[in-house]
Amino acid sequence: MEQKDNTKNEKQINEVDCDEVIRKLNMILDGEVAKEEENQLLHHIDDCNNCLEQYHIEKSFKELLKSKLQNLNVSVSLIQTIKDRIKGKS
Amino acid sequence: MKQKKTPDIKENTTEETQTYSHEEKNENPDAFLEEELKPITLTKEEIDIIFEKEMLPHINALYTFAFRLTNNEDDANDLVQETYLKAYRFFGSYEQGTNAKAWLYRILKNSFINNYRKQSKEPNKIDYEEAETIFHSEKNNYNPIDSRDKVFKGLLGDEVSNALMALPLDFKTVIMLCDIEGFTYEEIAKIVDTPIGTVRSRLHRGRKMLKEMLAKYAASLGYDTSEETQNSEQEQD
Ligand SMILES: [Zn+2]
Repeated sequence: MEQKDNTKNEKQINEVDCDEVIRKLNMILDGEVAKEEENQLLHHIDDCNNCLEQYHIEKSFKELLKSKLQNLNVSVSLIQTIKDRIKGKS
Repeated sequence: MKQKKTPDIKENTTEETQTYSHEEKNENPDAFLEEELKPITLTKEEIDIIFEKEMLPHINALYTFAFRLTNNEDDANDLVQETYLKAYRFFGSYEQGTNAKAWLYRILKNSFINNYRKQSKEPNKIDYEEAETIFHSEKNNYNPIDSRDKVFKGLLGDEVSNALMALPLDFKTVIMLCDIEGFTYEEIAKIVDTPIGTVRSRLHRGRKMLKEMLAKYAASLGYDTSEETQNSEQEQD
């Protein structure tokens, strides 16, 4: 993960490569990349068809999980039991 | 209750896929609650109000998490109840203003580990082998399956849920916490008690496994995974 290449300067920093983007796709979608870096990565994604496709695949999968996996409802009686047991404590 | 004699299969995936790493160490799962306990200056009435306003609203999410961990309604109910009673009892270890939901999840997850270690009952063995196989087969294969949107479109919520539940514990846990509940990596790391890097890699691998399972499942049901079919979208339900 760590790059020995210290010759990267500010001009080159925009040249994010595909490997890096792909490696960080999930982090981007999970909101775990700092704003500035995120912008660079998204900039690359906008211009690169391959990365853009992968980005959409990952994004829609994440959205699929969120939309298909709805929360269940707990029974009313459990809520009441918990409330009663807590009330009883002093 | 000690297992007969587990052969030394420390190498490769045992730790990561089968158990919470936590499980091997013989820790008290509530230790963090005791350690973080601070004296409370609030009255019982005040605590009750905070409890009702900040803790109880998360009960459906917690129940859902519990159900997907245990795959059993009664166990899930017990786990949720235990979680809330502990939360109440150890209220002093909750730092007000912090994420109450994450705190409750952490208690629930620890209680779960504790219960299943005691009963040496292991939930969701189903498809464990399949998940393992998938994991081993996907190694460095970059996007080995067709996981485009439309492949999964026809799947029902229950089908996705069952596939998720069939994943090894460590993987489904982080997926639920991240993709469904939207916790940050940092919060997840705290809930499952692992470094952030581990959270990240489990998410990565877990999603790949889940994707493969769902793609296979969708294919087996005859949902079309091939290129054509632009017309007839199944739009019933
Ligand atoms: Zn690219």
